Amino acid sequence: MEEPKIPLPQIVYGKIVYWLCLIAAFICAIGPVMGMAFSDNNLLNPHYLFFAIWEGSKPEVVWQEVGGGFPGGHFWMHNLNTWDGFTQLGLVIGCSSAFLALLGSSIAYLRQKPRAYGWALIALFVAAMVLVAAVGIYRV
Amino acid sequence: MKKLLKSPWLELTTLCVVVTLSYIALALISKGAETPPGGMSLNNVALLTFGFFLLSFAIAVIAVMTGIGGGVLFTPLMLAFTPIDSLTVRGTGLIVAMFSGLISSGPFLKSGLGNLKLAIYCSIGYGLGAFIGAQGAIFVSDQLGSTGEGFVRLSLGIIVLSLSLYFFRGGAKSDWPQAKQVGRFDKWLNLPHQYYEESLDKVITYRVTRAAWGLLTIVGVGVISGFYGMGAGWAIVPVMNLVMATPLKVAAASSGILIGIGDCISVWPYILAGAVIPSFAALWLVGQVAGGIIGSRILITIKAGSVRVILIGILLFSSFGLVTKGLTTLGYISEVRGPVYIAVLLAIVAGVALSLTGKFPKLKSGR
Repeated sequence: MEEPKIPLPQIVYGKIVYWLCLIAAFICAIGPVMGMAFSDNNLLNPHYLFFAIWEGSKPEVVWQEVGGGFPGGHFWMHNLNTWDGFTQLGLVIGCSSAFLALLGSSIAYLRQKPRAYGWALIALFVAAMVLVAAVGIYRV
Repeated sequence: MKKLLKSPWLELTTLCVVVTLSYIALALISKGAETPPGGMSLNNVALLTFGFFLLSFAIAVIAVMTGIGGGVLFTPLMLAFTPIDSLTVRGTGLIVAMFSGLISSGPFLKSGLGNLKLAIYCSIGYGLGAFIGAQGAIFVSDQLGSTGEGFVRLSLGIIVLSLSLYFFRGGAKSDWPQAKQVGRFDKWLNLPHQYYEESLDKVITYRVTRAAWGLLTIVGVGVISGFYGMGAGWAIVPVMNLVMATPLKVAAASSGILIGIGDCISVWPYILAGAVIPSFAALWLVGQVAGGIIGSRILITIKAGSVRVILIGILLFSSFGLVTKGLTTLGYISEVRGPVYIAVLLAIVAGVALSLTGKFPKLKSGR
């Protein structure tokens, strides 16, 4: 049976998100384990971190007591040489994947025939919502 | 063997091998490692995190199959059975919900089961509603206190219970709903789609109707999601299926894609506030990715009736949690203990298993 043709924007969105998530997953699989093996090369020492989490400490208390204070959500930029900075990079890649995928699908909506200007704009609008949240403008 | 060298099995196998080897290495290292005073031993840390990975994997398989998002299972389980702080749980819960949705997007969109336009369209309403809901939560907390929260929780529990009964009574009608009329706005949106249904070996063409009502309802779902700080896949699937007349499997797949997009927006305030602790959240993420790939393959091939049965089970369990929490908050009953939740969960799992093996004939799917 002949299967229906899948629209290009769907393929583009799916591929970008899928591969970025896999990259994030590999980083997040290696980062914490290496962080446990070399516990001194971390912002948050895993021995104390997991003890504090399992004690039920609030996140700000965990950061304060184990890491000397929260360095900001994008701390990975200045701490890529630490294992939790590296792990945070993985999280950031995954959490931004929809932004890049929506940009890609927006371009695909403009390249397909007939061009779907409305859907390209809607995809761009949602991508902008992700970006605004990631830079910290959208806060609840 | 050849199958293992093709996508997605190649990346899935590689990921599982990386995780397994990492933990074997860690187990060997932990034997001679010293535990600093006041800290947790490396052996315990390794066991705990590997347990998290396995649990996350199982949650992802179920969540992706039903399109509910992993957070709906993760958050109540962690809050009920671990001493971990609720803000840490909610932040990590969003990571769990988001990655099960994101990783399944690829296979769903490639197979045609997922509808990207539908997901993007609904994500506007979902994002808007979640923002209003979060503001509402602050208002209710300030103005009405725990009584208001108790009433909302109780009413939500009754709504969820009604939905599960509708799916139970509605039977196969909800598996393959038919859009009788398509309005001008629906036509303008151009949401119709077709895909190859593996379980039936035929191409399914469907139309989407009542798009405006659907968007309005999704705003309401977003409000609930933002209000309670939990995923809302359990509500998105019924809205897409019952309001917009989308086939149940398409609704489950598109709901996953929508959750992926929506939670990419709502997770950032948690990350920027430090509520997502990288080493803790990362292992949950890996489990979601690995389990999500498996779950998406299962959803593509299984019958729609099976998805409905599992969805009914999840809705029943969610409604039980909401009603009991609501009654507890209002002071009508004392707090329900963990073993009671486990007993109810086991009873529901048994019921679902019986249904899937054909013991409940009314739940069998037609078509």
